[in-house]
Amino acid sequence: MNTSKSWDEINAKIAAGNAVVVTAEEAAAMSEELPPKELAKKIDVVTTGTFGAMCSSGMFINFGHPEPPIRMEHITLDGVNAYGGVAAVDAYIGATEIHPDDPRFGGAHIIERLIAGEEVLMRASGKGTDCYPRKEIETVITKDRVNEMILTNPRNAYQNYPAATNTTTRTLHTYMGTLLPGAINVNYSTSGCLSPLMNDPYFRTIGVGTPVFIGGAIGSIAWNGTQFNTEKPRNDRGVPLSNAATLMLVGDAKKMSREWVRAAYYERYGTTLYLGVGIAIPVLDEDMAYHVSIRNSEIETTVCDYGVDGHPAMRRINYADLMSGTIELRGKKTRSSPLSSLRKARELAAELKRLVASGQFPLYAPVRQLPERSSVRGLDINAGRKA
Amino acid sequence: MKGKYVLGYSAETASEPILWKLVKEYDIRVNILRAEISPGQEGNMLVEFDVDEERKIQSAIAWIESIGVSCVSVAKRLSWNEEACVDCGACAGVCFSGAIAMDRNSWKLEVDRDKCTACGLCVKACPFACFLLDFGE
Repeated sequence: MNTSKSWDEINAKIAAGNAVVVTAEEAAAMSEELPPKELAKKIDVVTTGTFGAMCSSGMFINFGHPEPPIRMEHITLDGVNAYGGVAAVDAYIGATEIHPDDPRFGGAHIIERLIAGEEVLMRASGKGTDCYPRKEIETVITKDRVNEMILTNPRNAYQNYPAATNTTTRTLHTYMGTLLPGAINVNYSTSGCLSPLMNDPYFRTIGVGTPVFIGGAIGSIAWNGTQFNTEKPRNDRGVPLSNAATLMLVGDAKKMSREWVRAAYYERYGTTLYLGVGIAIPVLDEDMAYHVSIRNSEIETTVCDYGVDGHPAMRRINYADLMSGTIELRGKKTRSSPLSSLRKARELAAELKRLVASGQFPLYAPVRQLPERSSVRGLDINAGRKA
Repeated sequence: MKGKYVLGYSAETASEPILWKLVKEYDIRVNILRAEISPGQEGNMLVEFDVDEERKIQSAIAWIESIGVSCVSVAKRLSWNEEACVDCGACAGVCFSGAIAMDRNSWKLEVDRDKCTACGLCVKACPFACFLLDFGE
């Protein structure tokens, strides 16, 4: 029997209210009993979710033109710099931009405040031109007073990420959390089998235009993310063994909520944004059923030493072991701890399941595939300029 | 019974042989977990008192306070803003006293302030500043 279903057939089942939607965790559990062929018959859509630090996030804001108008060149929001080099009254505020006087406060906090409906003080200046004569402005903005707030994140939802430890004799404060000396703790950051790109590792159903649950709103994949890498070694389940693909995401920040967008601060690193991201994956056939049923024990990553330049690999480890709280490292039992919230990831996948099943979250085939091949290189500082 | 306390010394009381007296007169097994006392200045000491009769701890604390040294149970020094917490677990990885642990079924944090040794690692590890500890300040 043919187990294939088209996007249209799955959407018709959703519209009729009889699509079977499960979370990626539920699909993994079902696969204990059912082989992919049976699973493909039984389920139509699998929902994923993650809630973790996504540093490469930011927001475009269009403030609207005051009278007389100004070409905003230098802009601060509650004291945090926003990039004003985009026309007259547009700005981009990056999550990791730090307040000049308070290293624990930054762009992520401005984004969270605006999304939550709070007031933010905007100050801007420009040189004054014939068409934009005003030179300075100071006013309070809220999400209701600006034209658009569009979350535009160049690199989110990493397909896997290395786990981090520290073999040196001093404590390191990193974007992978606090790493104690002597490699006595290991931190990891993905939601394992719930993580979106783990469930479609070759991007058969995920591409440009794919709807995304982002920050509580329905946004979309704008493009591949920066540092998109298809060349990382994969395990026998097709999952890359360290950080590989990424997604550039956009969404209407006015529709987002603090529940899924939270400003964070990593000690001696700076600010970042915790963001809830989820994708609904159609189970088109046996092959997709095989991918969405992946279990934590089948997803592996690499433990890297953040105490040494280049973060050398120490060992391969699967997520079931990482999630158990104890792994073996250098022959010793070592504590492993998450940095992204699995509790929130589960809630997100369950919320997305509800939205898909009730027809409130659309499923579209990508309008364009993600790159088949793409690799990442470092910055060659000796290249110099051509004479 | 055991309990952890932060003793706050003032410049005047820093030279008192308080721990000696606690051992000799109040029968308390004292374990110093951490001490920060600079010469001629105020300081804090994290101690664990272990005693067979609770009454003796009460009278010891009364005596400590009578000579101008503050004595606060550690359980009262750690505060956790549960409302702001997202249960990410960044704190649990660095808590070796067992005060903060991740429930690996619900993936929610469990905080037992009685086990806290006031090391302060959770305060720095939490990305949302959910933990506060006033030891040493």
